[in-house]
Amino acid sequence: MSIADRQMLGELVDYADVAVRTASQLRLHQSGRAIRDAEAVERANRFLEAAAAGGAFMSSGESANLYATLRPLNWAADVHLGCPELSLESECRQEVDYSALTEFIQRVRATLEALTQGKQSDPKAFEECVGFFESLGETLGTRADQAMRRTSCPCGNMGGI
Amino acid sequence: MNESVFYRLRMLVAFEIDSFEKQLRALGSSHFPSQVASDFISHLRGELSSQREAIAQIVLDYGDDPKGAGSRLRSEHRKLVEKLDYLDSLENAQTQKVPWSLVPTIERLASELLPRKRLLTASTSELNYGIRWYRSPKSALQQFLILELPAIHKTNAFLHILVGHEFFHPLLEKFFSRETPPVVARLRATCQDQFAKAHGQGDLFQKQRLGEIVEILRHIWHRALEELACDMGCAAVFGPVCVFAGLALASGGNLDEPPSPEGRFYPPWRFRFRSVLRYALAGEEEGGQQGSPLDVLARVLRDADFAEAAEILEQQVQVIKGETEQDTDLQGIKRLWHLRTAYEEVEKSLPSAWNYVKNRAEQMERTWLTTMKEVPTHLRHLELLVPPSVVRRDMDDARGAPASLSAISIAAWLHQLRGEVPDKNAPAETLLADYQRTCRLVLKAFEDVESKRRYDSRLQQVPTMDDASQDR
Repeated sequence: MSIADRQMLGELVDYADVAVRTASQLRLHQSGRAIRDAEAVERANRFLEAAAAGGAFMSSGESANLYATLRPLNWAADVHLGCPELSLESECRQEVDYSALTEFIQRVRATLEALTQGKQSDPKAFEECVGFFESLGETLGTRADQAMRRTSCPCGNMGGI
Repeated sequence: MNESVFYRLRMLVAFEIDSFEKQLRALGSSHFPSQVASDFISHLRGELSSQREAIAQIVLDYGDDPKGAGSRLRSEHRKLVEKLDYLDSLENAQTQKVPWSLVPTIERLASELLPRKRLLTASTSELNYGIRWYRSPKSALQQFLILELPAIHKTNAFLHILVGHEFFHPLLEKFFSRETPPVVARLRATCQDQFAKAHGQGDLFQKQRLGEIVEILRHIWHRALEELACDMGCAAVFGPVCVFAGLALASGGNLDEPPSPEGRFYPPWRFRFRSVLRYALAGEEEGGQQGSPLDVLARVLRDADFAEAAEILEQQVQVIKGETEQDTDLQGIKRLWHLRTAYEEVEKSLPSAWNYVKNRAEQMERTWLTTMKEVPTHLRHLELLVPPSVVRRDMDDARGAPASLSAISIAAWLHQLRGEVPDKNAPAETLLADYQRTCRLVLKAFEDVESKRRYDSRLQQVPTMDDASQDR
């Protein structure tokens, strides 16, 4: 595996971890537990901030708040559009309304912030927020698992062709 | 996650952590050329304890959130599997696996460019130099960098100059955070136009989202510019020999290999050499009356009665110029819209990338520009089969000063090329024996330089007779 692949893998593993930890914290918080993993929630918030900045940039072309990569935006789009893994199916490759996507990300972020500040949020918004992080964790984790897997294959002379 | 599956996974991870820990303990008693590996092992063991604690908490949380606990346990397992590579790195960082005499010198060079980082030098079975670092903000592991050298070239001192390229990779994060937003804005505008034109034609653009296309183009731009900036940074430190070493490594492949997903979007070698010649070695600003730094080096050699070495230098630079005057790499890039668009941005970013790496190199104690006057002395030493490790100011300077790595490398390459070119019809064994002998001399010189530095710095701390009498 090349250095560049390892870095990409590291990013997938890391963000999948942040996502599943955040989703679990929110569920536990809902059942009356205090938030113990503040680091995961804080990083999830920053992920949403980066994704929203990417979305705002894609819809307006304004790059002032843009982060160094559009990956958080694209991952958020995959989850929002329901692409479980890299797929060539047309419904996952459709044109995206980046304004609507940004609104969705901002809504998830607002719910996350409200929940971590101990405010009540309506059950639909809560499920949307937790569901987003669960799907994000699943999607990125699956991609990381695929990247780490080595398949059995022959090497050398492939039959003298 | 089903309870039975959860506990099976828990046992699997517990076994893996225990086994990982045992292997680390075994590696802890191995011999490494510096302290870094032992410290890295301690930090890795700390990470394993943190993972054990995290898993204990996950088990406690299972009752309230079985689904979340299952996902978190799978994530802990994934994080552990990702770290398994570190066992390979440590295994390959043992003294017998690396050019051990070079390790302290490499560490010092790294500390000049990356002062708060610690470098673990390891070998790899791949024919490639590389550097890895852990970016997780909370982990103590982020202070470590893992430098990988191709194991097959362990004693090939001529190629190890390329570690200079690797040290610039971690330095570029700040540069890219500043450079990226305007580039991405331009890429988005171009992609949007192309998207509108191509929409509905059933090609790539129908199947991809605009954000994905922009990200792919940004990635191609980033990969290319990162490699080119590192090449230019290496040249700012070591001078022309980084191109000599690069050409030696690249000569086994296609210099025009276009950037592709299979090749991780690496820029073509020919493009890389061209950028180094155009920015790092041309010396457009520094030129003027003196000419380029390469002209200055040739003059230094001629003034010291090394006209033949000066000619070899000029010939080799001409060889590389000849390669870069061909535009076969550019033709490959221009053929594909996405490469053409990304590389137009690469061209625009190259001057600022060069300024950035040049400024970083100038903060170093010495670069090839400040030490090229040493080269004739080292050439003389190599002719006498003496490791070129010391520079004496005059005959009375018995102790001398440690030589610079860049001057040693330049002298070694010129010495080698002087022997190689006239004897190209000599038997391969003879040429190889000469090459390997020069490698040994250079590795010895690199080792001596560091020993001498340490000796000199200790000597300054030891009180002299005069100090002692003053104290009295």
